[in-house]
Amino acid sequence: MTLLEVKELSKHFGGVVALDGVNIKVDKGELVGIIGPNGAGKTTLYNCVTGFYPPTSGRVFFDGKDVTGLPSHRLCRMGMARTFQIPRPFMSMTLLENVMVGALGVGMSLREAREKAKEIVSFLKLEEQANKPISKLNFNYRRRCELARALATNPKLLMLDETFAGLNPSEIDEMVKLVRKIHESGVTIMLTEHVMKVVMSLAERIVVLHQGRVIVEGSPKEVVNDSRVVEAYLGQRIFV
Amino acid sequence: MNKPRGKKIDVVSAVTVALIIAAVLAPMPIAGQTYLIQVLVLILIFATLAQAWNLLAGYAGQPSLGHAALFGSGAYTLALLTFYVDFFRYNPWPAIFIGGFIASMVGLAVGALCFRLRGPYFALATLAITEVIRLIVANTDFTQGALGVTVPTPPKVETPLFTIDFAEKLPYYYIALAIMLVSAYVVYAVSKSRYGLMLQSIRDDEDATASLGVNTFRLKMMAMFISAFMAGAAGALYAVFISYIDPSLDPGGVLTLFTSIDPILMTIIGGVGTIIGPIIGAAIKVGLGEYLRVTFGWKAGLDLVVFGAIFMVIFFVARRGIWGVVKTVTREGWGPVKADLLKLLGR
Repeated sequence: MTLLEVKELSKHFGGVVALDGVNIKVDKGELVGIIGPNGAGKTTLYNCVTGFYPPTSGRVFFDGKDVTGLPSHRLCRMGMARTFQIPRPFMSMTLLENVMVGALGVGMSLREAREKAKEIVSFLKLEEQANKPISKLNFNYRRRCELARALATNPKLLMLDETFAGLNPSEIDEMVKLVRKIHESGVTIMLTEHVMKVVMSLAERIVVLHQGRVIVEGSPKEVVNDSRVVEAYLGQRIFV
Repeated sequence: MNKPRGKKIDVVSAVTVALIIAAVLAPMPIAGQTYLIQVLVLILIFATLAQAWNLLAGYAGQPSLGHAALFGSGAYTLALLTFYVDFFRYNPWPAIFIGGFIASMVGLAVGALCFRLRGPYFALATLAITEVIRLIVANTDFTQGALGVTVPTPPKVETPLFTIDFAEKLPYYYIALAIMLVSAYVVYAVSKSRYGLMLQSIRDDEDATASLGVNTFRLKMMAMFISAFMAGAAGALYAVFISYIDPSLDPGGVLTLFTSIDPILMTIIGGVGTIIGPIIGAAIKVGLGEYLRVTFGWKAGLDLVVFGAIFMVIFFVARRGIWGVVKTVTREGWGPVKADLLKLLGR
């Protein structure tokens, strides 16, 4: 069953075409990776789908409904949660309070939100950091806090934007485990990444964006061996 | 870990109760000194206005420069009701609530326009609207234009047990105290409710808050409604206490920029985003202002120069506001305060 369908989505910023007729389908229970070099349009795609930018043209369907142009808080309440490429924690709060906002946002009471936040914090192994001010925690924990916050909204679809960027190798390993765990708990996941290795090990299906277009779609193996992908990442082969 | 926390809350509530009792008894030793009580009433009225600003700006992060519009709406509502309606001439007290409500309506209208903007743009838009409102009031016959409105002194309330004479200052003290305490409690209750955290998250990062399912516009409107009600009630009480309001540009005018800036100064001096802060700030701003006016009044404007210098010192030494510093020091020691100072000194 299709959970998210992006149809002919385009986004122009003045003369710059950031997205050019993108079509993507995500089925319930899938773990889809969106890859592409810097500037390929990954984050713009996220912003258009999650209601941050109105798309120039095209439609977005979520859970069978046309949700094009809906504000982000409504999309979130329908079950679409996202994280940001650069973590945007609520700096005046503790980690637990950050997570609570997610639960409050979708309508829980203060007590329910605290329970929910505690549950998620232990699910993501953040108990030790829970009551510390987020401003005192490092980048790795802020990242995970974003993940926790998004999970607290009970999402059907979790959209992760470069969740592995800026982490060291052991932190990446841990994060991969967490993302797998979340996926196994029944959440459909879409993630962007430009570090190929991580996506290859995680995603079941990969969509390659290049200059605002989907150029290839397929299993990790197919994608890696596709000459167009190699070209997009490394440039055209030149014979001398 | 839990035990000392419980104890701490008890200390806080004990201190709060003690302070309230002290505030109730405060006028007794100075009962005859009209001027002192007048200053105390003004402190309480402005503490309420500052608390209103604190809710919207300190907790929800919306730096309004238009609280004069809300204060003025309340003041004008009461003044015009007593001017046009006989009932309110003899009993203006219900008009304080009506004033709060009308201010809330004005607040919602201001919010509907300005909450689409962020930060400094929001602030300047609220400032512009306030000035527009002032000009409309100054040029409309219904509001008595530049003449202003005189509010008659409410008649004595006589019961077999006691008499309340509103020609004296003392009754206003208790009314102002009640309104101030209620407003402080409301802000406290909101901050501890499920909306408190969401308002705080809007202040920290509005987009991220929206991405978590929070309807940030609606929440900002809610904060505006409550804040405007408090500001309006304070303004209405101010009108009946001062007994004359006008739309002039003078520092005393209810619709001027001064009235918008004062609550900001008070809140920042006392401690933004704290309940006690605006009260401390109001006491310092009004109390110190009056003291300096008396002491340095012999040279025009000198008191304001001294006033400004003192404020600068407070800003430098207590960047989190006076209560903010007290809170930080009790919780984390002198470290963060020292760090603030070193940063200021360029280290």
